[in-house]
Amino acid sequence: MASIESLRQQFKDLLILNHGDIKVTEYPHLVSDGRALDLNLGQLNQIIQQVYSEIDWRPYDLINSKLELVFRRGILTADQFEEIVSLVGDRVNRRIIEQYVVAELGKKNFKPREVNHADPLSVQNKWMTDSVWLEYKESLIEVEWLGERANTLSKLGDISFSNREDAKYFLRNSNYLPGLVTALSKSATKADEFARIIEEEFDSEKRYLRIVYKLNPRLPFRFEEELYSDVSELLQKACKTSKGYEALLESYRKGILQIWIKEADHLAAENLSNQYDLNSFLRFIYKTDPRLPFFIQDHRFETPDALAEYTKSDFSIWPQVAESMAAKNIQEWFTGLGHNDWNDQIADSYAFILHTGFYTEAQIRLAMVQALFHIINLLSDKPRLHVDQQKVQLLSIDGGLAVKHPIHITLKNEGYVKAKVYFKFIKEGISLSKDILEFNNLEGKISENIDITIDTFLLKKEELYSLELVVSSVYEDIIIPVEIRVVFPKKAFITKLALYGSLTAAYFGMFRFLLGVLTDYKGWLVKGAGNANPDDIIGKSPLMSFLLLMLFIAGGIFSFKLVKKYEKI
Amino acid sequence: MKDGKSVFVVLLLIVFVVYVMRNFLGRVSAFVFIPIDNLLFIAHRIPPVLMWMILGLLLGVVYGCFIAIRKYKLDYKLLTYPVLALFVGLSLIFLASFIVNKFKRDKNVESADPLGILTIDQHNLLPQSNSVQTKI
Repeated sequence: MASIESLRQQFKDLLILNHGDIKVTEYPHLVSDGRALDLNLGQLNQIIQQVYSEIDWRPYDLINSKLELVFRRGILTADQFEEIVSLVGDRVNRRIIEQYVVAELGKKNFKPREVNHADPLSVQNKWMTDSVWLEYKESLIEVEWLGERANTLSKLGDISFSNREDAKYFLRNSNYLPGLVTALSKSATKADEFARIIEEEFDSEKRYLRIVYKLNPRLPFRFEEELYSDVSELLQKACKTSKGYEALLESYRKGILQIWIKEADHLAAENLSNQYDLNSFLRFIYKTDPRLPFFIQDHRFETPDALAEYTKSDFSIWPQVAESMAAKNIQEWFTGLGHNDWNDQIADSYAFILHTGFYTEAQIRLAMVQALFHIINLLSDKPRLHVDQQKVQLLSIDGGLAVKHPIHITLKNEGYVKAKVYFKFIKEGISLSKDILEFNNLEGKISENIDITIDTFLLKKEELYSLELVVSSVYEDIIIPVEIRVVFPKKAFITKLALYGSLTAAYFGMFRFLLGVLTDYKGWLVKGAGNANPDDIIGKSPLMSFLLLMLFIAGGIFSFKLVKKYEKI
Repeated sequence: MKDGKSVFVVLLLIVFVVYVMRNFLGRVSAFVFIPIDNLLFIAHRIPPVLMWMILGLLLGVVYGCFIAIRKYKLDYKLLTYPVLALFVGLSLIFLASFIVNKFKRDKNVESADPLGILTIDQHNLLPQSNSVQTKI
């Protein structure tokens, strides 16, 4: 006697095989089993409804959709069955799938045509309709290729893929393969496609690959000693290391990667261009998978933020980042990430920096790297400057001198920036020792000293000159009011009078004293009552007097030269 | 050696010529010193060294002014003041000398001068008083 569970299972199988449409009266044995369990027809129908609602119909819907193509073609291949299993195998047992498929094929007059399995109802026995079976029999032609038998173009591709060097040798001209293609495909047009590839492609490696993937587009791609069947998987694996990335780029530059992609993945192939440069490669990989990392030299950056953070700490990579920006490599990455607005900002920043006029070509590149940090992250710190004086007031500069007033400018935070220093209202006689300043904390350039040079000779005395000193960078303008007044140098002037007056007085006094000593006469050399004749007094020591005179004159000349040198006049 | 000898000979010759012309050279130096002393003389009691220092001071101020003008790039008109001071100073000395001289002539009391302003400075004359007396 059957149990209620056994009855439910039988109902379930019947429901699945009949797409949920069964009448219990058409199955007398089940009615009989039901009666044995004291179940009348109404109760059996209730059980059927319960079982129907418990079945998950989604996998069977998928199988049905796949079988539609099989029904149209009139043949079920092992590959097609495996594809169905891969779709629903996680939810339905393989055996049940097979039973379901065979049942469906049976409904459409499919029959097993080969004996590939002991079970005559196995899907491996090439199920076909009668008409397709006739055509198939005619197509069962085998050819020999590289020492192996092949009856399809795919098989030719498989053999070529496994015997690379032999295949390349036999593909040196179109004498061999096109004939086999004609035999297997029975199409001169098809054979001509292969003949053209062999004749037009001079690179033996590319010729081989084009032929192989045309014969069988499902063949994997051989890269770095591994085989890949999925384009995204290949890109992700290659981009895990800079070495892999370089190898992939090299493959792209040679056009090898494209051969496989064009045949194997038509969706990914739409991202390819006809160019072989780096930007085309980047455009392709980021269109295919925007999550792929970006490479600069040996450095791998998962995100733009990671690139910015690393670059902020390693100045040695700046030239490469700048080069990457100049070559628009980074822009391709940003485009892939959907940040076209960043690319617009890069272009705007370049135009702005160029417009300033105080950046050299090499410095523009560094400034662009700095700008990149703020483009990637608007909240990142911009390099700011600090001037040690809020205002400059020089209201009592002694005239006649060139005065220098030092100003110290420092970089408050981090980054690379250049600044132009200038006076808003230019005045002749007031100038700056340096007008272009460069700061970069990564190179230790964090402070600069400049001098305001005031040539008082060119300025009117007692007049107040009001100017504005501007420290201008691409990030800010610092304005410092400057007030300058030149006054008459009273103190210095009086000091000079006193100094030279006293020195000359001492000089004269000393020589007159020496004259008295030499002549042994300390009185006045004047004629007067009771006084000696002055000529006679000097006449007592004429040579010494003359010598003293010479010394007096020579001393005056020498001192004048000495003063000129000392006073720098 | 030949050059050394020549220099020596020339020096010797110069020394010889200077020695021979010593009286003439003495008169040349007197031609400078005596007029300056005459210019600066007011009274015997005022030491000539002091008056020379005053002259030096006045000339030095002119010189210092010239240096300051050159150094501080000032107007050369500024030289007017120290040059004027020089002339005023010399004029005052000259005036003082004239007044003292006139006073001396009018009073003619050279020996009775109680202050010694118009008399010869005995202190200055004392060391060579014998020789001077002999020459006179």
